[in-house]
Amino acid sequence: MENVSKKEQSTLFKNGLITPKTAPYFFILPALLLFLAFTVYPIIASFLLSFQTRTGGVYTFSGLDNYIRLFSDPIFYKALGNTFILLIIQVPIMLFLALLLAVFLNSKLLNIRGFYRVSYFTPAVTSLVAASIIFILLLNSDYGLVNYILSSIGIEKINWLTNGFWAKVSLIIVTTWRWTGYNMVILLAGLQNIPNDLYEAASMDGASPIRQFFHITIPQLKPVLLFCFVLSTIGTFQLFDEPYNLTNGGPNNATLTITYYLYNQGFNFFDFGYASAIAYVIVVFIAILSWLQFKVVKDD
Amino acid sequence: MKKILERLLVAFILLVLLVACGVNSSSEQDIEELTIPENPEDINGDITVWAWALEANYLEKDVLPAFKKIYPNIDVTVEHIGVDQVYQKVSAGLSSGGSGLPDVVQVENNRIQSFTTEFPDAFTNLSAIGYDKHEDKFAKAKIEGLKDKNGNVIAAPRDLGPVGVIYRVDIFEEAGVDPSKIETWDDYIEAGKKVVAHTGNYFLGTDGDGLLRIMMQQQGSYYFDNEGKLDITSEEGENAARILQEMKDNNLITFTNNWDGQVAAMKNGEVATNPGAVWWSGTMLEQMPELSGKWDMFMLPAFEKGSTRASNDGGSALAIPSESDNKVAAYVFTEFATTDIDSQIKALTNRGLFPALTAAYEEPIFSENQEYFNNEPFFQKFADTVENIPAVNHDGAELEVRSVMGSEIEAFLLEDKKAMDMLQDGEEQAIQQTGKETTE
Repeated sequence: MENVSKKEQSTLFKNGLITPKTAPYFFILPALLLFLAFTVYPIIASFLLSFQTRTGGVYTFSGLDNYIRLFSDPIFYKALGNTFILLIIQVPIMLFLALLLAVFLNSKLLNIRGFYRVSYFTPAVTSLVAASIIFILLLNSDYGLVNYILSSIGIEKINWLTNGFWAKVSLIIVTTWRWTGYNMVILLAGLQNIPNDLYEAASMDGASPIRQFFHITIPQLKPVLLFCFVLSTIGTFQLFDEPYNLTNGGPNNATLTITYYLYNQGFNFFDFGYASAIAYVIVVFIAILSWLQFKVVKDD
Repeated sequence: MKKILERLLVAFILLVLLVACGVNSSSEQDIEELTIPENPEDINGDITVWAWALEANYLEKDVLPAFKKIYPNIDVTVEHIGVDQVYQKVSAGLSSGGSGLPDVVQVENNRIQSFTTEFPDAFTNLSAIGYDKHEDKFAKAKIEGLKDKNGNVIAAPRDLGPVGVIYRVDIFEEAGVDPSKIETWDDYIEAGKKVVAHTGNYFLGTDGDGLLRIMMQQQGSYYFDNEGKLDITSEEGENAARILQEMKDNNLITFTNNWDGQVAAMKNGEVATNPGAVWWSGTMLEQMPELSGKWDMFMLPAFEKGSTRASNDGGSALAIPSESDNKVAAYVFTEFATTDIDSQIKALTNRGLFPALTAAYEEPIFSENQEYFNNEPFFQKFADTVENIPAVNHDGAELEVRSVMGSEIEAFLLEDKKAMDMLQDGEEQAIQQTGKETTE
């Protein structure tokens, strides 16, 4: 046994293949191969696919056709517009709420903090399919609880899911419900890393809690907030489950997100070439937006 | 070391390119000869069937016991898979050259062409194995839609969705409307005005483009002409749009949002009629038992006096993926499940699935009075319309166009778009989405 392995070792060493310098690469080889097979290959393959169309069961190279079609596709622009509306309205609301909750739940004055933390985080780990059924019932315009409560205080019934504007509002509510707790936990971890002496010093100097929040908490949390922003931006561009379960993208595509559109093209209409082109446009958008966010925070 | 890594990477990328380009081979397939042994006991093996909901229950609980008696040596596994999953798994399987597919799969009529356009060799030619002898036994509108370009049957017809107007007998009586006098869509609208004035609710509801499709097929027209070109703004389409516009102008029609909304509207008496397919009966019996005796049907109103009063909505078929390795067993199962009359009757009575096999219409169940449906021979009334259902072209781009028109209907009902604009915008949108030409 020992002799054999020594022999093998020596030949490998003789060829200069394994040296103390190259050895680490052999250790990461399994991970690298998996990475190549399941990450690099799909990325390259879908990039190639985005330049192809299938006619009669055979893929043929069609140059930029998919991209040209994409940029003259009104539904694509509608989906993109919807996604940006969500990004501009939903993400700030959600992160603001998450920050407020995190600050409150970090307060030493609050009892059973663990309980609150778990309850706010629960939506993020709940099955959205089950949750959507509840939301669809709650938001039903004729016999839903929400409209019942509204009508009892004299507000006319709202078509939560069948009116383009209110369907977007519903989508924002559900997305916020689901992801606020998730961001809260990240922010909470950030809060706990802020040294206490900063607050003590500020109190000594007579700074009010609100002033402390704006001048200590927020600046100290900046990297964590940025992380949440980037994460939520990517999340918004990949938003799919929520509109799929809640509104099916309707009415009249009012809640169609860009990823939902991609799904429809790929898995409903089997147009994988076009779907790949959409995917690459999403990647470019996410890259630009993330870069912008980093830039803004740096310049500050 | 860097060099080795670089070489590895280059080799890998080359491999990726090769694989990506190599996928497009072998679209030609050998025509295989299959003979079915005469003695059923000589056929053996295991087959897997994918189906969903009612059809899966039908195949497993109604067909399988009877099938087993004749073909004791075939083991059939019916897998209950949701409709979306079936289509996704089938399209994924076909994309990868047919691996991982079952021996028999349920496919809807309106979906089959989208598979065959993308994957011409997806399904086994059933005519070649002997299914052509059954062709005459089925409703023409049904079987025509299951043929490939060469006229070969590629999926065996199962259920059909003949359309009529399902209506509330009690509401009609209270409003003083005689359904037997409703012969045209204009009559229908007049009746609707009376009923709505009486109930203060709506006359009908819709959750998508179903009614538009029903009305177009009724006139022998569809989103596509026979060559597969887009034909949405046809004269027939405009006729349908005109009626829809009138329904909306008179506040007869409501948007019910989705399936559940449509069911709720019927259950709550929010609508007095539902121009829909016979398979509604299954849902009604199950979800609105308290309305027993209050429903009946009359034939679809015609566009002009004396013209067609029949149409179709939905229905599925059974296909055998080309890669099945036990086609003989798969074929005899498919043949049995689609042509055995006793089984078709069980499908109707146990599951509410209306057979496309016209020979089954002679069975007593059809002429029997149905207590739920006003003690009338409800199924017979639908069966009588079957021979008049016009055959139309369900093109491979059906789903894209339906999705476009679904959105347009929503714009029409919810955002005050004119019905004619809906057709025009829908057609432009469909051209953009499918790259197809239009008729003219």
